[in-house]
Amino acid sequence: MTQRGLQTLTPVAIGEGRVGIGQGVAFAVHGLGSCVALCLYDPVARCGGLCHVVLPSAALGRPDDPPTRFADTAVGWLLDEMAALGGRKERVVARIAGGANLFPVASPALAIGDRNVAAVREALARAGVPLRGEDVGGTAARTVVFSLADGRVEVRTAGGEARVLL
Amino acid sequence: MATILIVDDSDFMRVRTRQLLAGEGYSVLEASNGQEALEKYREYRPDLVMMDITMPVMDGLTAVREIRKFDPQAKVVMVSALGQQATVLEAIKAGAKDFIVKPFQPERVLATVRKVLG
Repeated sequence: MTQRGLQTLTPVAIGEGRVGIGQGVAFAVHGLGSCVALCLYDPVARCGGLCHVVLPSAALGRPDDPPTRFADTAVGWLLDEMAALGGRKERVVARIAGGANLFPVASPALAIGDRNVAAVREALARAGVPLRGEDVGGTAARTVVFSLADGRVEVRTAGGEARVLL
Repeated sequence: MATILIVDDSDFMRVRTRQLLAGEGYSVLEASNGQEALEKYREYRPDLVMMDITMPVMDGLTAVREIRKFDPQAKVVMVSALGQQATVLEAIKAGAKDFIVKPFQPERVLATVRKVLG
């Protein structure tokens, strides 16, 4: 964990999920390639969580893999964990970043970045969580910081370009 | 086997914690806010209380103070989240023995329960 002004920056490693509450909390994901940083936020309870999604479906993993690792199980996991912090599903909004295709592939089935993004969008739609902003695709790796002060997601690409999803 | 009182306003947290602890052979009681926790503590005198922080009616910090007032030997573990460190510190000052940070991690919960029960 590192300090960023008044905020504590908690890194979220590949396949992991973290939740927190209050303006002092922020999450960071470094070197995001084909993975997706799925950020859910309840602006009233000021709680939120981030899952570092690796694959589109739990069917592609092992039975003992955590639900935070897959697009189709991460959304439900975050909503449950946020509810335990006073979050309410009807207020929750989503922002996503990542899903790059770092290497050229022979077929769309192998474009895991695109598949991750599509699966995350579908899981959000199924759960009725509105997608408020996204910075996805492309061929460059990203670094993401998600602040629970206001739910903003700051995205930086390897080329140095910065975007804020508000 | 020890009796543990789980205090949380979230059904999700109570269900998961109950399943975990009951599966390990502990007797489990539940309360959905601090006031209910205080009443159940007085009635059943559990060996350990697992206490959420943000709850309606009576919050976890107040409940720790009230339970410790009633029984200075009471063993309470705070169940907190990232961002609630200041409240956890207050609870430790009020006599809480330890804390667990959400999200729910079964191994971490069991290790803390075993350590505090001694």
